[in-house]
Amino acid sequence: MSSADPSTYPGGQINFLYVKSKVYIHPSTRKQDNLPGFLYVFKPHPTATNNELTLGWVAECNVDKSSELYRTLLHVDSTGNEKLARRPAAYGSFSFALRFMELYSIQLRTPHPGWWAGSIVLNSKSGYDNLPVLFFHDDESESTKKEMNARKKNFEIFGEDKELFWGGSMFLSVLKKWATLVRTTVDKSVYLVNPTQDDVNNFSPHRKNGLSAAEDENADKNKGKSGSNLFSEGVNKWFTETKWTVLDKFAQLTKLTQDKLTELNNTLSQDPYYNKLISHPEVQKQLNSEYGDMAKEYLAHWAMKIREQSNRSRRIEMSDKYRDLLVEELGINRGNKLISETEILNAYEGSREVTEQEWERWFDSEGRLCITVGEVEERIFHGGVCKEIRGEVWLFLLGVYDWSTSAEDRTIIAQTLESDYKLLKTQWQENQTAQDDEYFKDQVFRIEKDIKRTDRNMELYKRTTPDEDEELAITNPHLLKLKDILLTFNQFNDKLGYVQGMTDLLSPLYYLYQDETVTFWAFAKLMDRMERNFLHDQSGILDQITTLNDLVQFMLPALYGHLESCDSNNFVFFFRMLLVLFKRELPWGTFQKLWDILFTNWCGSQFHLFVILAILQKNEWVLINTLNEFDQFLKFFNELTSGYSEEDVDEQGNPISPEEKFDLVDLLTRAELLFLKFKSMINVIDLNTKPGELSPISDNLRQLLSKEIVIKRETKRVIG
Amino acid sequence: MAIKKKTLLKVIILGDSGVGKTSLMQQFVNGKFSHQYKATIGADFLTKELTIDDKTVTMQIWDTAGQERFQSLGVAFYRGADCCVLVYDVTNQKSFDNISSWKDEFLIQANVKDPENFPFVIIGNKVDVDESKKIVTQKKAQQYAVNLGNLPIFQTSAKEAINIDQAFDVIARNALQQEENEEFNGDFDDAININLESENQGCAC
Repeated sequence: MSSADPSTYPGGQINFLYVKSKVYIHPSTRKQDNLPGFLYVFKPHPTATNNELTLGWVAECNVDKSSELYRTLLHVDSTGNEKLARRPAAYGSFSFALRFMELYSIQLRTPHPGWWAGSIVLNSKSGYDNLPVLFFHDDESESTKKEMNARKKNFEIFGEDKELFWGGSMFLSVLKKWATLVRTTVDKSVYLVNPTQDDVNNFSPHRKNGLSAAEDENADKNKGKSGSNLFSEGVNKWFTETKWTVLDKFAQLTKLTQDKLTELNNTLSQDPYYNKLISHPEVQKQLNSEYGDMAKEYLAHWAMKIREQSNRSRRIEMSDKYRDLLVEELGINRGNKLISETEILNAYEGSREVTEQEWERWFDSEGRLCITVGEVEERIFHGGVCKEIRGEVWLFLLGVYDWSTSAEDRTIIAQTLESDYKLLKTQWQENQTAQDDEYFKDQVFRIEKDIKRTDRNMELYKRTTPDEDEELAITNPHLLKLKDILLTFNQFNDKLGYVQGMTDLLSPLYYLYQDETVTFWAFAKLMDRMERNFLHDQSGILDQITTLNDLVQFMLPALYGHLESCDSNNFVFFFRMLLVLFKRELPWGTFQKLWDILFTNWCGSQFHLFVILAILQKNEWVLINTLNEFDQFLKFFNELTSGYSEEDVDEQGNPISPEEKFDLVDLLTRAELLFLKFKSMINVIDLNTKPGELSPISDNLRQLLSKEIVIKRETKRVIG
Repeated sequence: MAIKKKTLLKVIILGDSGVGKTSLMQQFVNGKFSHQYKATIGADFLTKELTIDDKTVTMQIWDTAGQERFQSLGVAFYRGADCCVLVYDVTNQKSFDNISSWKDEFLIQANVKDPENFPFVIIGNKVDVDESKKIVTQKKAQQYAVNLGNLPIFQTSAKEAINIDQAFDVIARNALQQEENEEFNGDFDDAININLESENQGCAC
């Protein structure tokens, strides 16, 4: 770069050091108003210091496409090499340019799946803060896409600060070449540009010294320990603040005002799925009616569906990236050593069911398991099993057979179980006195009433004649078997007896085995785990509701604050999901798969609470922004699966398209990541709790980490 | 958007398991009957717009599980109720005998301010069955309703849609009366009503 005058570039040009095309300004919420442009950094003269570098943006429409400037901008963007050109016009739509010394801070707003593109907010020292927000449309930028692909090949999909890589984070890392950026601890999305010691102290009160803190950020990458300290700092901050402050903030948001509705609609209008849905006649009908509770509930479901759809397509397009986005959405701090990268990468792989061949390979010639139980559980947890082996697998998972048994052992056990069952059954069946007992008669009445209305759409349980009288005696032989099993269970566990909901747990087991004895023992084992749900005083189900309350408060404090301010934090709207383990919410094949996973106890024996947590997390935005009354929440959760109908099963009882109805894979991925986050938060808090100090973690939260099933028995027989 | 005061009437349906609570609600709201209804777990509600003497109201009908032990959760669902419907099955003596305990249980769980005057309506369901199967006679039931405090009583069939609209008309009128009484008495403890009103006035909070 030779020049006659070393203090200027030839021809009054400037030197472009960085250019990014397809950086947009969104002047309104309407998509058609979005304005593409170039974000650039240039050096005004060869001897300019870093402080004199200029950061600016110019709209595409204000650069003549035939000009040298236009070609230069494209060249620098695509090659990354610096190049001389004339200075872009400082006038024109939203154009701006300012020197680095005038920059005060940069806020990074990461892209959000299904909702918005990532953006940056610049603040100048002069307080002239009308600088437009810059949106990075990464999917349109060739250079960003190229960089992403290159990183993907090298497995470096994360940018600075171990966070997801995107246009904005890429810009930030470039900027670090010329300026000192200090991330504030007050708001982790904000970076101070060349800050003074006072600035650092104000925005990062926990830091001991200022500028060297910038180095800390880099050092973190090499030192896992300080990374986890930062993480624990976040946890502690959360812990001291959330319970009090968040609740206050969200109390203000509880009423859905007209403004809020408009805002909601504006947000939605940026979503491509919005336009498809808005033309739907049902949506039109709702929009044209006056705003009522109905419309509000509808809006909530609608917003959720939009998100669901855009998430699904996103997942199909890029499953790895989707997982990364989830990790980010859940606020999981990668590289903190408490959650390993392997754990994150393993988080639910729904497409890989355990096949018959795989299952057989796990056993030796004597039918003895030849891999570890942990390996089996982990494998089944990450994918479930195919329907051909489900019956056999459940006998192990539920504990009818111990994993250490050989095929021969199991034959002997089966014989014992057969005779034990016969004996139990005889005790009531051949005992007239027992049958004349009032309690027994009441049991028969209740059982008959409920088996007549359990899964009657399934071929197996259909009426023997189409016009069979509901009130007459049961004729379907399979229903009669269900009745015998439940009456024998009443004999087996005479304190508990029959309680509504049990037929929902029994019917899928009978469907699998179609053998009375095997079904009975599988049911009895399942009831070990489920008995607490059916206790007369409801204490077992209330325990779970209490745990869920603690868990939501712990993991989703903002949502909890909202629910609390709406007097809806009693969580009874999850009663049905809890009582019969999602049997009523999901189509046949789907809840069976969920049961495969839950029965492994791999992420604790109460992983179903994390599935509920995942439902809440997934719908957090919708719940906070659109609903504010108990009955609305109840309706929302009762109708989560309103799209699914009982008829959506084929002859074998397989769901026709469970993915379309209830995105189990997505929920399980979220649930597992939430579990990992939960576990690491507990670890951090434990590490920071001094010996003898009372732990802030309640016992019921801690119990979520245990793989032991929670058994709570009925203590005395009660009618009703 | 028209700003008008909207009245929400909250009605709770109670009664033994299998008497037809879900069917009654479905028949009244959606005009249909199915053999496929499952045992209700937890609680759910449906809403229907009604006109009572030129006044438009929204009736919110709550369907609950019939097994007694699940009633301890009722406290979450019954709050703000304006009327309670007690259902029995005319072919089932026990379900009839339990009517008064359902009534008592409701008054405890709902924490009703003025139990003496809270409106209940009794429904004897499944009258479509053969006469031979009817165990609870209409005469006996009517006498019982008088003894319980002169409660309105209807003999219905959710299956054949017999007497459904008549019963729910009386339920709605009783609920509306209750709602207006509460308002008159300055009883604004009911969170549901307060929120409805403030929203309709476009409260900018």
